[in-house]
Amino acid sequence: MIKIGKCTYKVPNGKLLKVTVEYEKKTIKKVQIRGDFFIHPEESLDDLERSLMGIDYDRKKISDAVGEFFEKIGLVAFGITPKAVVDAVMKCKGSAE
Amino acid sequence: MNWRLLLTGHRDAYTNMAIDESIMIHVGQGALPPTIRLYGWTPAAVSIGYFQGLEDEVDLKKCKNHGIDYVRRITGGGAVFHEHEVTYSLSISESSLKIPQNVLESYMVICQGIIEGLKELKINAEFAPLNDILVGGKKISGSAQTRRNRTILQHGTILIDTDVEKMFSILKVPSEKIKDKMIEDVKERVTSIKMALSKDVSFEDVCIAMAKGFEKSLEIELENGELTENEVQLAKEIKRDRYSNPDWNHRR
Repeated sequence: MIKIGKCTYKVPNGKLLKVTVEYEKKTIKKVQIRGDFFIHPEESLDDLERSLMGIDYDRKKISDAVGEFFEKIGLVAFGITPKAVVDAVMKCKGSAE
Repeated sequence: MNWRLLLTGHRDAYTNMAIDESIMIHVGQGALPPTIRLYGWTPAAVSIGYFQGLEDEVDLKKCKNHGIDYVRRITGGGAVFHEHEVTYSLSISESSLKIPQNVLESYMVICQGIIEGLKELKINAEFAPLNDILVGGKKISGSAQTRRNRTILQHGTILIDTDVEKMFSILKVPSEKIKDKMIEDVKERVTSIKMALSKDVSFEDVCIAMAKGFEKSLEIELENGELTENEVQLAKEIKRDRYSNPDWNHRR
């Protein structure tokens, strides 16, 4: 059964993230990250969300994927941090259980 | 090289966003000089940031009832209610020496034009990173920037007057219970040209002041121009395919 977790997460000194995670057992099916932050180039957020599809719903796995994304050359972000994304995605898990 | 100044008056939300993008694309192709556009919104509209959830932020039913349009921007940032304001957009190649490569610094340099423009109106304002301008500690202007194809587009608002109640009538709030508190908070944090001067200033006069402000702060000369036929044509296509397309506005 697919569960849907949702959360609103205030990034310390940053913006408000609204995250939805669809997952089945231990596997992430889909993630959507919304909010009033800035990421240049903008389209790369779709890549981040895609990179989380199919991975284990596990802090370490998510942390690695998000870390890799933020280290991409030329990526500039304001109001959102790798740690905030990981924390928010993990927080969603609790919300559905 | 003279920069181009476009005074395009009041348009609907979809047209406004499409024109900004069309200008950015044409300036990026190198065929046109750096361009500053000053404009307004009719009907009133709410624009949301690139990454925001439309229905997280906007009460679509109430928008419909009030005749207020809604549109997703190609720039990040938050939801903005556009009514009594001058909106500016600035399009320039990233290779220009006028604007820093660094995004943070470039916000500061471009916003300096607004600060100078407000000074023309006898208002003292200051930059508040990342993207705000404050008068007496209250926000009077906010901006958002994107970079595509080595071109910068920054657009933002300069508030002429505020109607916080109207704004909250179409923005989603976590609960009705705290709505009044939120309205009071925003009134504490937001100001306008009208509030700063205790008098009305026309849209046209604010446009004139802002054009002067940009000329001074960027040490440029602005030459009044018109959108080219190609810009108008592309804007029509972008409006149809993107900004008035539900797939775009509802994509998050």
